[in-house]
Amino acid sequence: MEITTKTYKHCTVIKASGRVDSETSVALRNAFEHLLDHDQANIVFDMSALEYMSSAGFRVLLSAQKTAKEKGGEVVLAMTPDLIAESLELTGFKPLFTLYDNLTDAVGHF
Amino acid sequence: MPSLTVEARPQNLKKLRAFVEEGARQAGFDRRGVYAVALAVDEAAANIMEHGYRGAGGLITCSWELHPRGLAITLHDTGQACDPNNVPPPDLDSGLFERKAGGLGVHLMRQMMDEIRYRSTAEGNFLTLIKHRPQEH
Repeated sequence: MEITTKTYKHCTVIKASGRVDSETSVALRNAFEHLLDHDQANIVFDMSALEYMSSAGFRVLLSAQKTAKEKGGEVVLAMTPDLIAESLELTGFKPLFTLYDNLTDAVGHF
Repeated sequence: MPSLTVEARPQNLKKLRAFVEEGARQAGFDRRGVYAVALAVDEAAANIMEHGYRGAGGLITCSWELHPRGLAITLHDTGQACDPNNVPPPDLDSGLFERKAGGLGVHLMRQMMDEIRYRSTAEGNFLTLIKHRPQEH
């Protein structure tokens, strides 16, 4: 898995590619925590290059969303692949996140 | 029956997924079915690593066989018995700050599979996951 971050005027985009499981979710959690620890709580998670996400990834997203909202920000999801979106639905996570189907609209959320 | 034995470490989850994805393809599952099989086995194996072996390591043997209606996968371990059928359903609808993350993996596993069987014996624990092809529910 590869993770890149890009800072815009009003938010930061985290982009992860590949597969998120119990092994790789550690790096994803670190990426979110690094931003949140530096009070960058407006975060777009660009999921367009993700192939797979297990519940380990969902736990990272839940924890990041709680911290972001406590800090007055939010995590929004962009371009969630269809099979990962189905898991988000099955785990009841969809109502906890705003989902965008393109990056421009997701960045424009902030 | 194809089988793969790995150390119970998260670094080996990708090997287990690739192994059962091959079985799912041979069983005739489409992209969604192959993903479901990989996700269920990943969640099951991650639970064995974390709760069965409590992070202390051990071996997991995964095997699959074509089932008349789809695919049957068995995971064997010698850790603490952890019957997923005893895991309470997760919290799916409380608000963000009340939401608990526990039980999501077992929940996903149940959603992805048609049958889950668990046996704890003197030879270890056997978790069998069965998935039917869509037209054969």
